[in-house]
Amino acid sequence: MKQTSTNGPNTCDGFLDKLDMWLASELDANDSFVMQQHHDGCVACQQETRLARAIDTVTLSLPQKVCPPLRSPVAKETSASFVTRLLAMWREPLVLVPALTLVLAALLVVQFNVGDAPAAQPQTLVVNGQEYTQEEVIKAAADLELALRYLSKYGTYPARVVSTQLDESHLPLPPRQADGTAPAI
Amino acid sequence: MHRQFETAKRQFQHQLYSYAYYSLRVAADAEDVVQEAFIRLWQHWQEIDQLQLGAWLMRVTQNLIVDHVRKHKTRLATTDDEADFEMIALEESDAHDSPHQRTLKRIVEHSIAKLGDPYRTTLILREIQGMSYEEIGEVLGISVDHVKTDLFRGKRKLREIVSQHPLYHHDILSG
Repeated sequence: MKQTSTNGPNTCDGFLDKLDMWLASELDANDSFVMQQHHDGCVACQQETRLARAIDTVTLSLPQKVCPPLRSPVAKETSASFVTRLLAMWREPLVLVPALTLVLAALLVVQFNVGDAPAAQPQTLVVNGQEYTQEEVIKAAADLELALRYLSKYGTYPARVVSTQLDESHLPLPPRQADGTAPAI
Repeated sequence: MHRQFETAKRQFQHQLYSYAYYSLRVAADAEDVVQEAFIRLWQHWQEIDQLQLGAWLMRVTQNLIVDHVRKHKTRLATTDDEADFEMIALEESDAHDSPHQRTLKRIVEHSIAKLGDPYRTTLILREIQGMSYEEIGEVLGISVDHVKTDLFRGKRKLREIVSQHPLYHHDILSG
């Protein structure tokens, strides 16, 4: 006995449109009254209402699923320590080469400082086509030394990499100190 | 940071997994999605407002689910067919249900995964996760009225899918 008109909650289509709002008590009193009236007189809509209620009951009873322990990528991503990532970064040529360049620049500045009057020192330094002020070079060198000092707590690998790269660079480095270390900046 | 991350993981992993599971209906895929969500959380930890952590994770998970569905459409269709044959499989939580209730439960689970977005997401967040309209609106970035509209339209569509399911018959409702 399905009614066929299409407007308002007093028709089957209108009833079905508002059925879930009605069941969720989201309709005003007037619409609720019309819905109830239609429901009481329409077998098809009573059947639909039973289905809607049954589905609501089922969905509300569906359990929250328990997540299994997450596999390695998260663990790997989260447990990779700062040092590990820093070491990995140091192996990247894009990090290592500019860093070595700055070290070299810093060493050259030190060399320029020895024995010359301040007025004779260059105000800027050009490395790989990029111009640096003396202040920038000294600051970069200090940062680098700090980083190296930090890394040295975790092994000699980074220092060895830097040293090897410097040796292979054939750049005019200032003489090392008696104990083999680079001159202090 | 690591400890805070672990706390967040413990707090949200089951909720996210549940959401992904009822969307995808394949446990391994749901697990992959949750795992990826937490990797992204780790990568963006510094940029995220800690008060919005839950909403951020739900949004990321939603995007991952949408991506997953798009990428694996063919596989999901096959899984659906296979799932039809496994529908009567018992879960512990079903032990006290009648056969009719069990069947209806499986039909509904199956039908939820077939609902399109945004209806599926809204329905899962509201009915299974028990989130308020306001919380859902925050996660999805829509108004409360919009949430209600999606929810009620979704429920109507869900009824249509359920009633067209091959295993559905009116007697199920008498169980």
